[in-house]
Amino acid sequence: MATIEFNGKTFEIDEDGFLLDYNSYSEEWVDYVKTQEGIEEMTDEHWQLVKVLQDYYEKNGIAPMVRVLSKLTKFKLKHIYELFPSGPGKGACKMAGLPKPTGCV
Amino acid sequence: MKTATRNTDTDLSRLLNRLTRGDNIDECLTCGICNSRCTWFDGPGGPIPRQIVRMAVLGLEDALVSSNMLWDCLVCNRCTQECPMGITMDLVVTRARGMAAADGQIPEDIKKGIKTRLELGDVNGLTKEEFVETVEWMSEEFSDEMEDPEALIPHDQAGCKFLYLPNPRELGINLMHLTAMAKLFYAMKETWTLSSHHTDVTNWGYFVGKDDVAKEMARMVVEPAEALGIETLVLSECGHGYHVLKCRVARLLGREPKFNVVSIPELCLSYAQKGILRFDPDVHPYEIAYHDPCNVARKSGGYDPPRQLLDMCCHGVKELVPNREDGVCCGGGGGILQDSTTTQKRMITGKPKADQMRATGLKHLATACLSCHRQLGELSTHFELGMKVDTVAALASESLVL
Repeated sequence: MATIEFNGKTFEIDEDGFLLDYNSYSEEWVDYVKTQEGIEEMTDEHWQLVKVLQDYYEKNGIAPMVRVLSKLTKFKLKHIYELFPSGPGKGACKMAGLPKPTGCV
Repeated sequence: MKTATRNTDTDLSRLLNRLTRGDNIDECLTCGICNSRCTWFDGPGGPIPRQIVRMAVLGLEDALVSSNMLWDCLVCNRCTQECPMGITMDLVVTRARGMAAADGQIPEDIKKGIKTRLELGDVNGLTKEEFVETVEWMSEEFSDEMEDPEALIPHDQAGCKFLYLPNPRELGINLMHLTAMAKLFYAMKETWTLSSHHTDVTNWGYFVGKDDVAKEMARMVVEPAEALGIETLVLSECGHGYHVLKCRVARLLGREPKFNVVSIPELCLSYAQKGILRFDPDVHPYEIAYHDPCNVARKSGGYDPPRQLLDMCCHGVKELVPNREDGVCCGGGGGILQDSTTTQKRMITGKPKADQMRATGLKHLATACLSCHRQLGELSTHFELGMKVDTVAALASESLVL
């Protein structure tokens, strides 16, 4: 476990850099992950992915399958990778404040 | 001071010393070659291979089970490669892990994955319905990408020549890799299929040393594959999955499967040698380093096909030093990568590999195992090596001349 500070906010993260507590998500967290992911500007499409992930997680307690994410956003898989170069699990989920994926990942 | 005396009447002793070679720990000469060959031995907190064997010989099972060494061991077999008595560490460590007394030490993620794999056939918990939905969607995206309505990712079709057994990542976090593999089959112009009974090449029963679990997982792959009437089972790039299905399956099931087993790089190489697959090396106009996955290389003898294929797809293959039989584990072996609490530890276990990577002076590295692939990518980031890490089959797919 570690703590990072960004723009005056403090976040507790796990060793892979995911938020330990989903409720500590804030816009400053998005700004922080943006720098990590190498995203220059957050577009409406970036925000749409983040919101869809959060809605699904709040309802179901888990991250959606990539297929479901694509269906809900109507984005093709390639486009999701264009938006988040490290992918939906390691990039988009991290930005949305979801816990890191486990299993064979 | 209490001196340990040899006690052969223990659970572990009954599990070991049953073969003439490999688990013959009673013949250990205590020479310590294993210590000097362990790549983590000199690192902070590293296991002591000779001590693992001595604890087993002396019947100090409680001490062994309660030490970190049992789960810190990367099960890479580098330590015992030169053992004068032919002891192999993966047998000793997995037998010890498999004892009932060691059940409480199994990492939570591994325990959960095994339960899900036995219940659903998939270590990540993908259901058959989710599999079908995902594959049919990927198939549509694949047709669009190839601009060919005949370019499909078929599933559950009987009588095909090939059945592709994916890595669970290829149906979850790394779907693009599945599309890349589909392109290789498309170029081979052979019948192939995925199967909703075959979503997972892994066998974590091997990691925990439980033959009954490993056998059930192998059976869940072999029997439905035979029912489909395929000619060859094509394994995705997965180190331990390859080792179990190539080298251990016959002993686990008590018979040979009624089909051939090859890995996707091996299959691509044979189709390239027949002149059916053609690759353009200028797609990757650089020299590339190759990492031997311990399970594919040292433990199963699969040294050359990935190198030969890579050589067709890039401008030369450079060896990491040492390599092949003496290759250094990526630092994620033996189930440690599959335990999500080990990220920091894996930067210690992987330090010798990172040093090797840096010494190449190259910017590209390939391997034939998706677990090594993840670990090597994390090493590149953590140690600021600036190396792009790919799998051999993904590079082959990118280089295809259609």
